[in-house]
Amino acid sequence: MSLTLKIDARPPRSKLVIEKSSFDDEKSRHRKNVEQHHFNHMVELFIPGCAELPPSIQAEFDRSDDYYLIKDVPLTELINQDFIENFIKKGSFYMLSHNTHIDKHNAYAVLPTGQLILSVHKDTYEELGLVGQPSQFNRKVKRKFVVEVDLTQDIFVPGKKNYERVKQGLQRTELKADFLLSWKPEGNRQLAGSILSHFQSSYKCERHSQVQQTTRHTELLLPVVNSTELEESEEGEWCTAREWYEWLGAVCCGISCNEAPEHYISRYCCPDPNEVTAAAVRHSMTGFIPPGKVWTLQEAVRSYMRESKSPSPWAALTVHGFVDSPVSWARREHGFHHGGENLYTFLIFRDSTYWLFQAVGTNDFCP
Amino acid sequence: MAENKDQDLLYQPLPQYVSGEKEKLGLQELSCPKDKFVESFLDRQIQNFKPSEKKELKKSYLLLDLPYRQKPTVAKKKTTLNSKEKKAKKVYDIPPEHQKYPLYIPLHNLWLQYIKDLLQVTPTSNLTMLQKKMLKADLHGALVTVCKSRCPSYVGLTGIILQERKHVFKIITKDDKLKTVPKANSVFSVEFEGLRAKIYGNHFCLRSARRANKKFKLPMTNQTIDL
Repeated sequence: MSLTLKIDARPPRSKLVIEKSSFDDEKSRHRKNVEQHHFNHMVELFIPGCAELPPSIQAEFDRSDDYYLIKDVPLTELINQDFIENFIKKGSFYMLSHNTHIDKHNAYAVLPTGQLILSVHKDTYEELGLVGQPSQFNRKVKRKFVVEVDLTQDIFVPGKKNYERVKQGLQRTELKADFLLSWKPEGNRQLAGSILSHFQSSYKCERHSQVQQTTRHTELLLPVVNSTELEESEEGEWCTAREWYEWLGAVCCGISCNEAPEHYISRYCCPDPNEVTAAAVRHSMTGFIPPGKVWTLQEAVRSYMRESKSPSPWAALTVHGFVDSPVSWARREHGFHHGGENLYTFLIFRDSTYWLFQAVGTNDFCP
Repeated sequence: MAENKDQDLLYQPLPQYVSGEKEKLGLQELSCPKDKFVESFLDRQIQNFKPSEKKELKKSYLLLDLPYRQKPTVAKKKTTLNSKEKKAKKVYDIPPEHQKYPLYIPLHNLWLQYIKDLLQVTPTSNLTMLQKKMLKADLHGALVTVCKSRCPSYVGLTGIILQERKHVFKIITKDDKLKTVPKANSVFSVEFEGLRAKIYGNHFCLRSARRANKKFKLPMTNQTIDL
């Protein structure tokens, strides 16, 4: 018996969206972009021209914004009335199932808008009894289904038909998961830690801080970019946006770009034209990062760039989303396929213009 | 009387003026039986007269005076309605005033008794035997729950089966609603005697009478319980 292996020879259909705008523009959607990308795994800041991270930005990185890992939480806990009233409705609440692979397991997420997103398998869906949509990425063979439950609706209270149905469905299927959780209360009257005490009595909870890492580069070749022009110039005075982004990816992955083109391991070299910078710093933070934190970081970088004494021509802030998150931006469905990448990069120039790169993998919608 | 006279004429011997001149006309009495004569006559007259055709000759004689009369058929008295009439008269429909859950609790109790008598569950009873019996059991009056379905809105429906058709169950729920649930693409669970049976609807799309006679092959090969 011969085994024929069907190999999809096509390359994965990744998408990259590049846009150019200014922070001062009223129609600029930079804030929306940051806030709608709910689940961020890593933030990486690359500043050329300085050997150390500027203290104002370092302080922003160091400001504690802990997240919690709660183990074996049944989903019925999430529709608990007290829980909805005290936490989900009061503040920005982010919750994502941990160690669940979106292409293999059921994955769950609670968005700050109050939606509970269940990305469940066919068998679970049939038993759950809640109406959802088949996943956009395998429409022919319906393997996955996405169910959305709006937790903050006024009529979503015990005794109502919809609530009871959701409750029964979750009880019947006994869905359970580990959750990553981050909560920032509205105003400062309540402490963010109070959410921990809510779960501590019945479940195993862990408190985590984001892990930070700094890498310093010396004598790095920087491609020259022109903040007003994304495309190539006729005389070759600057690099295109795509070339720059490829270069940034290479630098972030630690690929040496100064090698000769015939080097054995990597033939990649910095695109032309380029210039040498004496030092550059790359700082990353890994963990469960709420968009609010990304936003404050971005503000810090912008104010640093506005300062006249800053030696850097630009700064790049890259944010990677969770590969196994059921949503990428807002409520757009996200899948894994080959890599599950969903990330965006702000290339911030000194004159408050920016380039926004949004990159997604195959199983994702164009942002 | 004229008719009688005619009939008599038929069976009278030949008239005097014919029989008197028999020899002149060449008439003579048959020396053999009549049917043999017909055969030999046909033999003589028809070329290639096959013996098989000989057998097909109808050996009956038409009577000239008594023509064949068909017997008048007596119409059978109709006792049942056909399905079209049943449908028109809504025989099997349950009127809204009878769609009350408490009305059918006695039916459910009756069913529990019936299933108890049928299965005779003891702690040592063989599960495969129970399974076979359960396959042929009548389900009218059983309390079923839809535990899995391709259509999510059926999941969790609980009620007493009032009717079982080829493709659907008609179920009355606790809030007095008559629901029609398709058997296909659903899994039902029935509880009785402290046991729970699961009915995979895809393999159950039969009329209950047909199901009682059908031989289910166990274990089911090449069949999936996937919906």
